[in-house]
Amino acid sequence: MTKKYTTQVWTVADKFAKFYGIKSTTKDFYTFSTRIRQGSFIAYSRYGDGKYAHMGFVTAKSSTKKKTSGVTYYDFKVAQHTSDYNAWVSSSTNGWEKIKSNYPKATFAIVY
Amino acid sequence: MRKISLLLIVLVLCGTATSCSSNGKTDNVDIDYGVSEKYKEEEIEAAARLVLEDFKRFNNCELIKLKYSEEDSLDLATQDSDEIIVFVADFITGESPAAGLMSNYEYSWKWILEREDLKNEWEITDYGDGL
Repeated sequence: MTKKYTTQVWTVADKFAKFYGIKSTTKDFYTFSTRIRQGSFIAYSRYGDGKYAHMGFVTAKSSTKKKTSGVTYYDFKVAQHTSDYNAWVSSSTNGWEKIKSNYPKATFAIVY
Repeated sequence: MRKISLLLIVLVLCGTATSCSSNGKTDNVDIDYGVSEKYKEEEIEAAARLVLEDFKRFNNCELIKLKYSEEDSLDLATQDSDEIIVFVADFITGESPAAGLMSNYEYSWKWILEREDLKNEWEITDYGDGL
């Protein structure tokens, strides 16, 4: 077992997003899933206040729709820390589609 | 007179430095050890102590709630190693918090700890905003 402390970049999501700039934002996860591409840095603002507490990197995008946890979207694969995964949204490992149910005011963003 | 003035300046500067930055607070944290079918209470408590100690690095932040997550612990255990324990930690930040965190914000992060086997101690292997 080796220690795998997260790198600084992952804990400064807000600064990262604001340094590179926000390309687009939406409150709707389906819309979000239509906009992202492989290679996108994505973030979300928990309370829709433009403060980004978390960030991930899209490593793959599917052209097929999925519905999990009552949410419909085009599936995509996210690499992120906590818990150090590279997983499809539709998998049980990834929880991006549940953000809106946990934080109704959340907004999703694509970083340049 | 000049010495006294210098001493006063030094004392004021020291006081300012102290008030501007303080270790992460855990004094009033609400800890929920939950119910586990996998780990004994003392195993969870030992892991929780490490998280509390680690949180002291988070200057100008206050840990509000620390909760053991059996669900997350079991989910992760199937992927990598078997001995994994996960806590959900809710904390708030003050002015100029540590590690580039946003000021005056509420965070809900996960702390992940692992150990080789029952003979070894827990080690923190990851932490952050877990989804």
